[in-house]
Amino acid sequence: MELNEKDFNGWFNLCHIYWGGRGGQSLLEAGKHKQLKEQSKQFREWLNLHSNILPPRALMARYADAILNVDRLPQPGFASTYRDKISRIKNVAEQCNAASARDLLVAFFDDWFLARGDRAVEEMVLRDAEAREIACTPEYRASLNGCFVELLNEVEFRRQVRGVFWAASQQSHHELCGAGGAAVPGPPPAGKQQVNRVANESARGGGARVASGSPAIQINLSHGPVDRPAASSGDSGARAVPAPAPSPVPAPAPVPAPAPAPPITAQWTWLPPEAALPSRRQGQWNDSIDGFGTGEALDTAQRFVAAVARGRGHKQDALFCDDSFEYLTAGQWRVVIASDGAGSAKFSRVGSELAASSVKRTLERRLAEVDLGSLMESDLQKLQQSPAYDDRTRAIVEAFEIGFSDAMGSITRWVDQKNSLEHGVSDERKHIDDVMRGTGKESSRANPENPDEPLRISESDCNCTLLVAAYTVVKLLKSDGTTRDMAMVVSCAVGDGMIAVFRRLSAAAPHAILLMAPDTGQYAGQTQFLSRSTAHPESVRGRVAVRFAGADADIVAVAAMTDGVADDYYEGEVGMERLYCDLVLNGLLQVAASSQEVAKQRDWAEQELRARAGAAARDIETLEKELAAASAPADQFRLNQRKKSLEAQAARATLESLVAQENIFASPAGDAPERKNPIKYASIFAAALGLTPRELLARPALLHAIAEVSPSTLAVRPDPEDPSRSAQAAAARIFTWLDTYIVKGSFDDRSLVMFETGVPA
Amino acid sequence: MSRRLPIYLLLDTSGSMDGAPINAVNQGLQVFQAALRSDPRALETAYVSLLTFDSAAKQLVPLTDVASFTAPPLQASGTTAFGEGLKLLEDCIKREVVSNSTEGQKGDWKPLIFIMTDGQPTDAWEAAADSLKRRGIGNIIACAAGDGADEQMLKRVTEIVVKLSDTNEQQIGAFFKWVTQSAKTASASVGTAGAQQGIQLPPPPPGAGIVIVP
Repeated sequence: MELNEKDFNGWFNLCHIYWGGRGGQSLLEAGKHKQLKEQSKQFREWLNLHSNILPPRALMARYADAILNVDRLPQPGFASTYRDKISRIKNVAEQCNAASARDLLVAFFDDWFLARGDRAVEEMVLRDAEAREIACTPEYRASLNGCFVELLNEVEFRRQVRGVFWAASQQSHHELCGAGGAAVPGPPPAGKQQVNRVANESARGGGARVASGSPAIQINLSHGPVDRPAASSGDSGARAVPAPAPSPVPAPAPVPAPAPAPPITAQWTWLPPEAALPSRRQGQWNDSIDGFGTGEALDTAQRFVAAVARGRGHKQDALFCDDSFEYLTAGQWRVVIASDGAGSAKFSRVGSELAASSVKRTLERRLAEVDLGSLMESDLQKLQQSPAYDDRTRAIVEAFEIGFSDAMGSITRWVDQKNSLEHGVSDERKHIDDVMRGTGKESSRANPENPDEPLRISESDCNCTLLVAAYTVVKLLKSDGTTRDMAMVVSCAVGDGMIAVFRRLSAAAPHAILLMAPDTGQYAGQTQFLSRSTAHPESVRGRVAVRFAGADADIVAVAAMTDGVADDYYEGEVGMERLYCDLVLNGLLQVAASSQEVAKQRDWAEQELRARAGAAARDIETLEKELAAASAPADQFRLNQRKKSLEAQAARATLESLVAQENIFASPAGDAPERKNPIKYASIFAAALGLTPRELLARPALLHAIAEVSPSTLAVRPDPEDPSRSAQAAAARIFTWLDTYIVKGSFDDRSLVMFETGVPA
Repeated sequence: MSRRLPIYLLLDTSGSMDGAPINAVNQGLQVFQAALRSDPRALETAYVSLLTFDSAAKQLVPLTDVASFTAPPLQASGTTAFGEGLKLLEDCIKREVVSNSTEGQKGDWKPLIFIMTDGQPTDAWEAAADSLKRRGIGNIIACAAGDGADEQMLKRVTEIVVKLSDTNEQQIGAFFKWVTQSAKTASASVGTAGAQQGIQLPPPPPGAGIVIVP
């Protein structure tokens, strides 16, 4: 039976909607929902009527040809992907044993998803905000088997898709043909291995939907009041650390041999952020929504380098990066600023941008006027205890007080301005309202007398942290009349994250000094944010800390970072030391060492690794014998675990083998090839060599040697003639590192802002 | 080092579960395991432990990350030492869950606990239940499966109780699917404010005969 054009168009468009082609999408773009609905209905009707008549292969062949002959392909360069798609369709059509067009469609679904993985779904339906919006409307749902969208949240996606497809087609069949219609065909044939889906619920509205009429089950993931040990930045060695690992467990009951575990196929997806309020950042430094690095050289020895990277969580959920940073020079002061918008606050990104830029402007003005001149030795102690000690330093504290106040003020002004936008007139107002309604807070915010009135934003919708560190050099007048240049850092922070000073490895320890205690509130997991009370001068005064970090010549960098980085290096001073190592190993900070010493350390390291690998191999041999003798499953389990770790050790026979080849998180559109970037983790090298990160820091030449192995290929070679270009290159490298390094459970946006002094030529 | 989301499963493997019910449970565990392994967030934050109780209570799998967690096939026989099961649960949590942040490791999130039983306890369980409820060391969701189970009894352990009208494959399958959904929702909310303010679990699938006991 020949296809008529009308039927074929229906088929064509529906296929396109499902498979991301242009036909359906153009209809979507044109907002022609009705037409779409009509076509899909026709298509279903047609499908039902023809499924047993028309050989599916002919159908697909016709479809494939039609697409290949489309003369207006959407984008240059798209043609090849398209052709690949189509030849795939043809392959599937030829190879599958579909008994009907339905089966064929289903088989094609399977193939498509297997090939593209989870992203296929996202790309298909959620490619742009509009399409997604349309896809979520009740009309679309009703018309085009819209449960397809809801299926994105289901566990067994593939089975469900097929199930629903069947169900929907059955339903329409009954609708169209009446109760006396043909018998419902059986469920689709069991298919290939399951395609795994990523639950994307938090992308829309956060948290689960509550079915109407069903009582909600509320749980709390935070513990209640707990005894938190006072956060300290000192004596990390002195305190006995409670062992995080469980105490020796009585051998678990004999475990019957488990079925082989299914392969892990979880894949992080990448989504652009939903269209929301434009980011100030766009068009200013960089339009990249995934983050960027930027640097500025003050002279050959001093520079700012900073980078921010959108976290995996936000990429998964189609959200903007919430982190912001700034840096500035004011007279003799060098200041770094970082701010992290709260995940729950809808406009926290605006908050963090406003806060960071506002405090920058204020400090630019006010700190420029502060000149500390010389300090006596006796002043140092007093200043560290009480920063507002004398007139000169009081000016610094005041500058911070006003800075934080201004930051809060800028947020308040923004909120007021947006709330006063005219309802019904301003698009922006409507958009804000839509965003607010998506939070589910409407019940508490809506005006009961006028439920259509736009919801008011409050300051807490812009919740963010704010970390500021200002560095300068003061002259210390010693008692014997000589002067010394001292590094002084004034810091002030609300919220979590970290401010740290990294000192030269040749100088005496400590090499990493912490300048703040993360503000995490009374209960584990809570964070303080910039608010009227925390930005109040009295509160700021209490937070300002002054620290003398040693001779100016001993300072390598002052760094501020949001918790996306700080949490990955959690353990106080020890954690920051590990960060220092990682920065050095990945070429982000330099250490000086003689080439002889470096060569010596490299040889030592390679030898050590070989020896350990050899020892591990011998241990495995012994273990094999034990394993053969062991009968109890518990013993076997334990021995197998041990064997696994020994095998890992045996594989680490060279420095090269310890370098992790991580992916740069895949770019959008799937067209850009995934790039691999070698990343070094201090924890891996330290463990392999039997050292602690602190011990690594004590051997700069060794760090240097490891840093030279498999250097990152992505950074531009620094240019000693052009410090500005070098600064940019360094910042780009930091961005790459932030975007690439992987820590289990670390999904947050990452920012690192550094002022480097004494940059080696 | 990130905070872990501990998930405990305490399942009844007494004789009454033999046959279709325990098969359904095994099937449900496979679904649970596969689903978590396919969720990138769960893969990185969720840690699962499996405990069973029949004539005695056992921890079959200690708290393990999702990638390594493998549910052994369960067999049903024996009585219903529910009290012992509750006591073991409490001990395991005390031993394995790090509730305070220390210098070395961030504390874990409050555990998510699922308990399922199909019958009446055969040991003294009241004290263990009171202790568990009083200590509030986890979010407990208890499931009374089938006619033989007493949902009111489970209320002594936790406020959140669901009831399956039957222990057939569909109902138990639906229950495990719901457990999986909840685990994924919890994993997804970790790291957002939801984790600090409380999150809502997805409702049990409609039409599956799972009823939340008010």
